[in-house]
Formats: sequence, structure tokens, C-alpha cells
Amino acid sequence: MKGIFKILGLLFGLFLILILAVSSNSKWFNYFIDFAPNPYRYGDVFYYSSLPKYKSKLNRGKFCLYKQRANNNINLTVIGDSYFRDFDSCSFNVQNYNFIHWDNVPDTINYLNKNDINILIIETTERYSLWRLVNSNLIVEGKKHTHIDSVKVDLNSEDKLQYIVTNYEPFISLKSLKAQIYLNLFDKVDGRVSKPDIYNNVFLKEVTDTNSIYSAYYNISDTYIDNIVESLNLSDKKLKSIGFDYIYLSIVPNSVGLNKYYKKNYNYVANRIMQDKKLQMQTINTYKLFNNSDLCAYYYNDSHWNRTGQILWLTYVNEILNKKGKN
Amino acid sequence: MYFPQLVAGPIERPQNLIHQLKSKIYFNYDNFLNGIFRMSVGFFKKVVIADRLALYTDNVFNNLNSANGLETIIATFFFSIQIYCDFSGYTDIAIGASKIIGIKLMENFNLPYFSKSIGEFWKRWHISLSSWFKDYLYIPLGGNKSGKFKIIFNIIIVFSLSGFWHGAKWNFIIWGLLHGIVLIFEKSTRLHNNLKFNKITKIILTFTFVNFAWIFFRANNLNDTLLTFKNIASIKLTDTYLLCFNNIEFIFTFLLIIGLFITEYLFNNKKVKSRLHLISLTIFFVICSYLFGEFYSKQFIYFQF
Repeated sequence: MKGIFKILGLLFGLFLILILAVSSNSKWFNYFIDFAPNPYRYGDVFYYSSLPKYKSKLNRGKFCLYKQRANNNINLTVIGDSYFRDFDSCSFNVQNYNFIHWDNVPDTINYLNKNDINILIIETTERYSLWRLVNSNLIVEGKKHTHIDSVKVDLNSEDKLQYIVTNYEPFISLKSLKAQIYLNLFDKVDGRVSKPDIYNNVFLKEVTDTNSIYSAYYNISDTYIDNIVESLNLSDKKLKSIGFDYIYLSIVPNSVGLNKYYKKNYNYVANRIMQDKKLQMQTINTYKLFNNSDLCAYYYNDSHWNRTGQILWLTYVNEILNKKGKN
Repeated sequence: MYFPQLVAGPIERPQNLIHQLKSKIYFNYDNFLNGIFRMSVGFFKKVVIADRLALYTDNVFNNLNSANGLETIIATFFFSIQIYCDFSGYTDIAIGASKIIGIKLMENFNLPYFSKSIGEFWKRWHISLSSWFKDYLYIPLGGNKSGKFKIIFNIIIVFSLSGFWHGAKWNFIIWGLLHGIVLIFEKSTRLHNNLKFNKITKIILTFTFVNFAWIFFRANNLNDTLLTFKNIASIKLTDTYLLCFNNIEFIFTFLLIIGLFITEYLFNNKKVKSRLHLISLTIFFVICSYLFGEFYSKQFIYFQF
């Protein structure tokens, strides 16, 4: 019996050393991420809140609509964010597809072929639209872009350790138990999410906190919107001068903005920018698209759009692309 | 260099530590289980009690302008418990970790808040530092054997340096001096013997003074210290007190404090002999530490000194 305990103790010790080594070495940690399950597989709202009620596996993975690449000379470039994590070249009816994450917007795009139809879609989630678009000197002369389609992880050692340990069962259940106890007894939830309200919804705190510029309820003046529109118009000119034939802006609204129960004091930033008469850039008005549909375009356990939202958006965009291809 | 106690003590003397490090160490199950148990108690004290209290105290001491009298008094009381659980929790972890590898470190706390006088308090709080100051400063200065005024001078020197050791801030020096002055008063009037109060009253009086002195220790600067006293003086019956807690968490916090005092008083220095009990208690403390712990990267208070 003692022998078994010795071996178990030794194995446990080695396991601990391994975990600590991986969490303190960035290179090893990056290898680990490649094999580890995605921590957001149950949604970011669940990831932050850990409340068991919101634990549900997301329908994720590359969302393909086209088996073959189109022969339509369309070169589509997207500057976007995590809303595009399920999209790939097979999601669009185009010949070439390039995705650039907002964190890696290049100094220049010098691969544009003037014989192609060069289309750029600038996509941003509404909560980040204000700081992303207000000084949107998107692309200037210089270097080549990088293609990014994975979640960048930039964590300190403690966060890495937590990432490794809490990404698996039974720890996730234990975390959920703690979250449930804290909510029921102490009326507290993780600082990154709002408390469940009477409709049992949980949102990212930055979206509901009225003091945050990312909030859907932050008071945005018309002057601020004018500045954004002006900045977008400058970008539009500049981007067209480097070879883009068509440029579209698509701001994906916060889910609260589309929910009738949360519309009071909503700042309608996405719609205000996209419907501004002075805006010269063409738009893919996601707010209108989702608002006119009876379908629910968002996950309840994640701040992103669900497959329905993706289908609504992709169908609309591909219609536009098809028309441009025919021209 | 010996890492487990390096950052915040206990401050071991070479004569206690070096011979242990040089001698051959054998793995011992009882030492291992006792060490793990002691560490789990330390973690519990730190993350469940100290860091929970820190939510309240930080809220008050970092926003003194908006805190009311009752909140300030509660925060002062909470800080006394917070600093004890934070520091003794670290000590428990250091002692436990050492025990696992067969090294015995000295105890650093012995129910300090049950002291009946300030003199006794310093024999029970941060024992390794107090005894270091006594052996390497107070006694070389002449200790108790010199004249009355020299003793007073020695005490003042020792306690001012003790305050200064915590940081180059007037608050720490005043904190040290306050303790020194009360100790001189106790010694010169033989207050401990002359007071006709019962044991519990003496404990409460000592605890109240220690609480008062911690204000200087916790406040960010002298202005904040004055503001703290101003807040306390302006206490009203209508003052609210919950701040970042709801009623249940507030009661839970008080129950934790009461539980801490009772458990430490009843089981101080008593060993758990049954291995099964040790394992069960360790698992209990680990699970409770996780379920009720506050994990927001709050470092140990004494790491900064």
C-alpha cells in the first residue's frame, strides 16, 4: 500500500512540476494551447461568469457555404475581429480572401492586383467601434500584412496557470459551484460580467457598465459620431487610392441593442454611424439586418453572433459580392 | 539561501537553520501530512479571511473621503484581523512547506490578540522579529539592566527602528513609537499588575489599543490617518456599513473571524495525531479555500517590508 502511495505522490509531484513549468515558459505554454481545448468553447459569458446556467457548447468551427473558390476575380479583404473566427475563404463567394485582425492592421497592403475587383469590409463589434474608428488611419504606406485567424494569448504566469488548470473537468464544475454559491449567497458575480437580471440574461460588464466607453449605454454625443464619420470618410478616400474598388463598413451591434427589454438608454452607436448621411463609405447595416429579422442572432452564453446571425450576415454579404462579380 | 521563509519570515537564526540544512533529511509521512495540513490552514487564512477583509478595508482606506464613521471603525477592526491572517497565513505556509522537507522553523505567532498587555503582545506577534530586536538591539543597548531613563531610551530606539523597518514613512515610525510609549507606561506604572480588571477586560483593552495603532500602519499617509480619525469621530446612528458586502457576506465574515479566534484558542499548538483526521481536515481547508477564497492576485502584506 505504501508503495502505491509513493508512486501516486511521485506522479502528482511530477504533474505539478509540469504544470508550473508550462505556465512559466511561454514557448511551452504556446505548445500547450495548440493541444488544449478552447477555453471559450462554452462561450465567453460562461467563461467569465462560470454560472452553470450558461454552460452550453457553442456551435463552432469553420462555416463553409462554398465548396469551390469562385472564378469571379473578387479579392476580398476583411479587417475584423473575433466575429470572424468561424469564417474562412469558403464562407465567401470570392476568388481570394484575406482576413486581418484589428490587432494586426498592417501599415500597408501592397498585394492588390489592379485587374481584380478589390473589396474591403471593415467589420467591428459595436463596443469597440468608438476607439477603433475614431482615428481610423487604417492603412498607410509601408510593410506587408500578416494573416491572423487564431486567438492571441498574452497572459502572465498566474493567468497561464489558471488557464491550464481550470480548462478541464472537474475543475470547471467546481468553478461553477463556486460561482453559484457566490451569486446565491453573496449576490456577486465575476467582475467581467453583469449580474443575471430578471430575464436571466448575463452580459459582458463592459457592455452594460454606463461608465465604460465600450458600453451600449455610454452617452455618445453627435459631435463624437461626426468625428468618426469624418475619419471614416478620410479612410475611404485613402483606401480607394491604394486600389480598393469597394469599401464596406459593418458594425455588429451589441446583443443588448437588439433586445427589446434593454433598449432604454441604448446609445445606438452602430446605427447612428452607419445611417449617417455624411458617411461616404458603403455599409452593411447589421443592426437593420438583425432588427428586421425575427430570428435570434446571438448566443445566450456568448457575446458573439450565433449560426443564425452568421447566416443572415453572410447571405446578405454574398449577395453583394455576387452582384459585384457580375459587374 | 532558504526560500520558504525568505520573503516574510519567520526570521530564523543560523544556529537553528544551518545544522538542519546540513544534516541528512529523510522523508517522513507524518511530517508530510502535518506540513500539507499547516499549508492548507495558511492558504485558508490568506484567501478566505484576509483577502475577503481586504475587499472592505481597501474600499474604505482608499476612499476615506466617502467613507462614513461606522465603515471606518469596521474597516479598522477588519484590518487588524486581515494583517494577522495575512501574515500568520504566510507563516503557516512557510512552516508547513519546511515541515514537508523535514525542516523545523520557529513559530512566529502565539495568539497575539489574546494578549493582556502590550508587552505580552510583542512576545506573541512576529516573535522572530521581536526576539531579534531584543537580542541584537535592546540587550546590546543595555536592556533592562541600565537606569530608568536608559531603559526608556532603549525602548524608544527599538520601537522606532521596528517601525522604520516596515518602511520609510512617518506613519510606521509613529506606529512603532506608540507601541513603545505604551510599553514604557506599562513598565513604569506596572500597569499590568496594578489594574484590577479581569483577564477579558485586559485582553479587550490591549486589542483596542493595537487596533488604534494599526490605523497608522494601514493609512496611506499622515493626512489619511487624520481623515480616518475624523471619520471615526463623526460616527452617526444612521451610518450604513455594508459597502461591498451584502448582509449574508457581512455575517459570514464575522462568523469567520469568530471561528478563527475560537479555533486558534482551542487548538493552539495542539497536534492532530490521526492521519485520517489530518487528511480530512486538509481536504476540507483546500476545498473551502477554493470555494470561499478571493483570488484577485492580492499579494501578502508583509512582502512589501
